[in-house]
Amino acid sequence: MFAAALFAAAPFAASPGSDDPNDPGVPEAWLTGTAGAAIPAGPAAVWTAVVTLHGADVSDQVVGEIAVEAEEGTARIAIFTLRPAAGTAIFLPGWVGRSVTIDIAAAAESGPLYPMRLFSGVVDSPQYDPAARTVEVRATDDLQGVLDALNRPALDSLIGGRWSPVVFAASASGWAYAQDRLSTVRGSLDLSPAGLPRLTPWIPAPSAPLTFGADQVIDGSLAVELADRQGLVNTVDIAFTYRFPRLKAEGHALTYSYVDMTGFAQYVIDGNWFLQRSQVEGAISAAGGTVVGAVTYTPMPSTAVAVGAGFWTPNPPVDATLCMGFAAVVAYDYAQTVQETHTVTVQCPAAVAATGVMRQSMSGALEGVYQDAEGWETKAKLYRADVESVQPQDLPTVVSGKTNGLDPTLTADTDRAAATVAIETLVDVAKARIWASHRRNTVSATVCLNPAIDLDKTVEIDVDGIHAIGKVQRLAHRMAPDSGEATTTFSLAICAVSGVGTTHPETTTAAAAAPAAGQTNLPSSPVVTFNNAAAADHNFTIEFPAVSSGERAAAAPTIASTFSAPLVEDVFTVTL
Amino acid sequence: MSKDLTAALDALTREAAGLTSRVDRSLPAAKGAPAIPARAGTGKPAATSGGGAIASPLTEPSYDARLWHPATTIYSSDGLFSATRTPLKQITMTDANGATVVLNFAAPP
Repeated sequence: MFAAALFAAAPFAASPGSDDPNDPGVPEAWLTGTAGAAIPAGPAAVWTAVVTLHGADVSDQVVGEIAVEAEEGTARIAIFTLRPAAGTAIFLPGWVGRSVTIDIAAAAESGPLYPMRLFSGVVDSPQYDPAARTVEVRATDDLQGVLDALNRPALDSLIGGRWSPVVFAASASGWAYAQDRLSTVRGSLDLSPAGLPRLTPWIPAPSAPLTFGADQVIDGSLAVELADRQGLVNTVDIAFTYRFPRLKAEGHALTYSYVDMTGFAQYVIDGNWFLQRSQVEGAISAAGGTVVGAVTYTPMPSTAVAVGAGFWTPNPPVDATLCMGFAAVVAYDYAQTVQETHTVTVQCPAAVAATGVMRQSMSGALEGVYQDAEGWETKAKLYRADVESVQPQDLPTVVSGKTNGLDPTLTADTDRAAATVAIETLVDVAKARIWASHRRNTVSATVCLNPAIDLDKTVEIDVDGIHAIGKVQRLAHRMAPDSGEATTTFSLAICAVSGVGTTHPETTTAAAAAPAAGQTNLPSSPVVTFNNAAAADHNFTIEFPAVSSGERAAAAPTIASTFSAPLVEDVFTVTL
Repeated sequence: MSKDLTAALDALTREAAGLTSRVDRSLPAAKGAPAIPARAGTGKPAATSGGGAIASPLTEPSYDARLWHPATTIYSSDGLFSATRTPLKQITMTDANGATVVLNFAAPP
């Protein structure tokens, strides 16, 4: 293996890139990892660090080590120490927020060659050491500030994923909003060395662009750390409650006849009374119903009817107020509360088989808001009875013999679509959480500083029986101009469950459909009573059956669904 | 102090990464809607007759219920003869429905 200290005084090596000192390109070997930036390239003999502060090259003032550290999802940090020339007056508070760049390049007599950016950021805190007359500069790439400056559409485009105000804080913006979206994505967000935001999927690139073998990895730096079982999550139970009103209209079909022409004469002889039309409509109204359209009455005979030895003679003005029966559809409106419970299981079956169930749970809830809810039943009744001309926002169609349901128009942030997005967001959070918990295995190594190693890279290591391919999760570039040492320490996140390179497919995230509002048969018919005997009170009564509890009481359907969480296992083998 | 602060900020940034605004949520208990019992409505007959047309036959329940106009005397043209008459004023009948039918007669000239 390599010993990093050798590189400081390494003789000029064959150029892996161009021999032309004016060639601004970076040696291809740096980009592929076959040679580190600390290996002299082209006409250069040694590497050099180029540090600028507020646009000024302060490389000559650097003393001690320059460190650049980066980790998935966090700000990139740089630390270095400057020793300004004696007698220089500096205003340290003014350094805060000033720009900082750090490059590594090949040193040549003509100046730095092949500079590659390691860091772009701003001074976070300068610390003056009076004894040493040095200023330690801590700089950050200001990841949080960069994200805070982006609006939601920009973050949506950058990150993708899902977001729901039902699941996350509706007021979230910038950094917080980005964190919310990132929790639904199988990837990590950070800033490039040039300071540009980027999202890198956790899944390794199809072919690792950077490969390190025994010739590149520094002695004793190779390390493997495996995730503990306790931190694994392979099953996430989601309970999501969605409550909303459902409007219903009963359509009672009334068909009533108390006498026909066959029995008319005997009816008269018996001294029975005829039914007044006003009694019919009065009874319906008194029962709380409203007639759909108009009542169809069976009229009284229009010609004389022989009754015993005499005749029943029509009396048109009066007969028009009477009837021998009628038919009508009577509406009755009411609302029901529906509270759906979506029980969603997100699980990676292979991971469960390997380690047993490692469960977490999440819950969410949404209450549908119906603007017209207040007094809707009364509004519907008055409208159907032609007392009120303004139709309620939603009105179920009356279907004869049925109870017809209608899910009303809820506010956009509480309607069915909002609930669906919320559920699907939670499912994606669960999928990402399961994947994240399985990529906590790490393989770490230190190599000669290679600026191509970055958080967006997939790296392959094949050293001492350990073969791993994974995305870079953490890195630290360290340059010590005094000693000439320059190294890059990196850690690969390795997703491992049951097999090398196995892909566990996912079930597409799509919330299960809930029972829709529909029609049900009315359980029984209205009962009509007409006290028509001569000596009776001649009252006409309609009794509509009670609304069944299944239609009126809060409905609580449970909708169960299961999703397979995806995992793409990285290559990770150990050969003893 | 500054170094400590920077370290603290760095630590906070690392902690904040991955933290989301998501919290587990549930709904308060729903207010139960009252049950809707059977609903009955009654239409009472209007004060006018529920019988409508007069159902034949008409039957006079009692002769004694008849009413008469005051008796008047009529004479022959030569004045030799005279007679007293009592015109019928009202007859109360009952039709086939049992409804009362009252017949009122005008007084003769």
